[in-house]
Amino acid sequence: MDPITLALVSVGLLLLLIFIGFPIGYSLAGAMLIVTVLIGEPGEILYVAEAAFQSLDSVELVALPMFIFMGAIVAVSPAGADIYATLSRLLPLPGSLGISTIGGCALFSAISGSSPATVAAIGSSGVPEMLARRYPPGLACGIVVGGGTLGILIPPSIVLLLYGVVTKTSIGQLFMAGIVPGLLLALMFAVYTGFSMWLHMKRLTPAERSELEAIGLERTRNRGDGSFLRVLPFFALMAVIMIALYGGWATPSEIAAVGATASILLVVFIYRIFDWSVWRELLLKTVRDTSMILIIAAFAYAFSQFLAFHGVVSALTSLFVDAFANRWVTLFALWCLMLVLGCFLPPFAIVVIVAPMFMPFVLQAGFDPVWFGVFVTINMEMGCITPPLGINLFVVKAIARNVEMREIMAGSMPFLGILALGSLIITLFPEIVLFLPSQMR
Amino acid sequence: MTQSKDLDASPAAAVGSESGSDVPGAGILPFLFAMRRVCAFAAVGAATVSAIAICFACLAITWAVFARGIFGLNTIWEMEASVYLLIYAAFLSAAYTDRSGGQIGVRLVTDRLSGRASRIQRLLLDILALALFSLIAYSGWSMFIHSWETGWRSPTVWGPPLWLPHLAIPLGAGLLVVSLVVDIAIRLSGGTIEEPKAEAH
Repeated sequence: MDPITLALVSVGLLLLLIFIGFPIGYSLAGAMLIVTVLIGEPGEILYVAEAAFQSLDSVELVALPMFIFMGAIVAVSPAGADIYATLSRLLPLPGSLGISTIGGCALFSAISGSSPATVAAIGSSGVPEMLARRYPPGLACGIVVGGGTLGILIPPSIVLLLYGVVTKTSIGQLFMAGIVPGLLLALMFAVYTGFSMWLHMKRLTPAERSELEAIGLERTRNRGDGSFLRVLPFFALMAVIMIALYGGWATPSEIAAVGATASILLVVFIYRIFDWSVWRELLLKTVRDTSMILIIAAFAYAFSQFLAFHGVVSALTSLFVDAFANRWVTLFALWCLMLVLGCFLPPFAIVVIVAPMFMPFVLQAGFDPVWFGVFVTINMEMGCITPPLGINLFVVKAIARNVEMREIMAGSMPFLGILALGSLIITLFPEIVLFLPSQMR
Repeated sequence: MTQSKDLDASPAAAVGSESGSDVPGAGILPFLFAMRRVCAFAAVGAATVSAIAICFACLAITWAVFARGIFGLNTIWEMEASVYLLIYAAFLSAAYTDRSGGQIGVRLVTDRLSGRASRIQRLLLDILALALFSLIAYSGWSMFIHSWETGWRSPTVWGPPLWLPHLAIPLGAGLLVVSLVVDIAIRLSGGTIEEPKAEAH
């Protein structure tokens, strides 16, 4: 079998298995094993456990369960509600509640590495509050769907971490690279939110407008007792972590472990969560996510090694380079491909499958691997919004049960557009991504 | 976020359909459901061990960071041990993760099927998973036997015997194989197993 046929057969089988409902991690292993038999090397399938073991025998991967653990600990605490309550008090004007929500998402992203977790944490207080203050339901949901995507761009990020592991790119540099684009996107989201609320207010009659403002003032006075002081230690912790990473004093795995241990202490001492059933649920969730992601990572890495070994990756690279004479056209083709995959697969699965395959092309075309990591991550953020598997949409739907899915999607589309614009901006000005990592030791 | 039920909590609900003597193989169903409860218990036990492994790895690395940074000690075993603990966490909890719906997949087809078609699809997916994990368990067992018999050690300063981490794969995959065999037997005998809900990631 020539490399291109092999690529088509392997990826075709993989997609077939995934679409009949076989779990993604198993599909990767299954496709690899079936193709191994097809190309006449049935004896090789007996080494599948060794391949999986070698993929997981990595110091960098240690950070993954630790960040998941840390995220789960922070998620059970009322930290999200505290951040939200504080921000909405700081900016009491009607239009700025949406902007506070975006800010809350950006802040929560800095203590969590996952998008749906960010949506759940900020959205569970943010969406009802915005609806109560008569925000257009689509916009209220869209703000949280869009803002939540920042979870995988602003460090720590599970997606950037996996990208670093599978492409052998510095995870510290990737984390640093995510900060400025993350803030830029947050700013763009905020500008859009402010603008659409301004438009919305302009369309209302004066009576409706004063009623809305009265509701806003009334609710601002009656806010709960959420306090930023209680969340402050988490941010102090993250600041120390980022400084340690920036200065090169500790590896991401060490940082993740210290972060998880410190989060346990913070949750116990600040939020006084001692309830064993809460901890049991939290630990089992961590174990479940860890096992799921590590099994995907193990077989995705084995799968991509298998493809590389059989010349598929280099054949694909030359095919890409020949097919489109211009590297920008190729980059656009990759962007479209990842967008389509993003409609069906979760971000980390796409990253572990696709990034090692594209890396040789990326290097050959002269793109920076750290920059490409951020480019891929913004693309994955779009995948969190695109139906049918746009996970953020479902998390928000679970919070705002009375809002139609159609309305949530319509409200989220502008944020999809802003993310696309974000990819364009970092492509035109790669310094936005690369400046901070270039300053690292 | 939708939360799937814990395995140890759901068998009671799943047993609901074991009655009905017109179903072929109904006589064996109570036994199979009892087996299923044993498997679920073992799976939760293994997942708890995995959770302890993750916590221990956090503490070990935190200790290593402070030992190096404050006391200037050399750290030898902490990081390598953590890698192995996480390999254990990944595989030991494989049965729990799989049976409680933690393994994510695309539900485009699954959500559109109902009744008989859905039951057949679930059965086929379980059989595919059984084939895969039997192979992984066998392959892992040979790897363990090889490192056990040759006394193979990790080529690091700490140098632990490699059969220790290698054992994680046959143990974890084996537990999943047994759980799958019981579930497949239940489905073939006409019993119904409540599907865990998919989770958000």
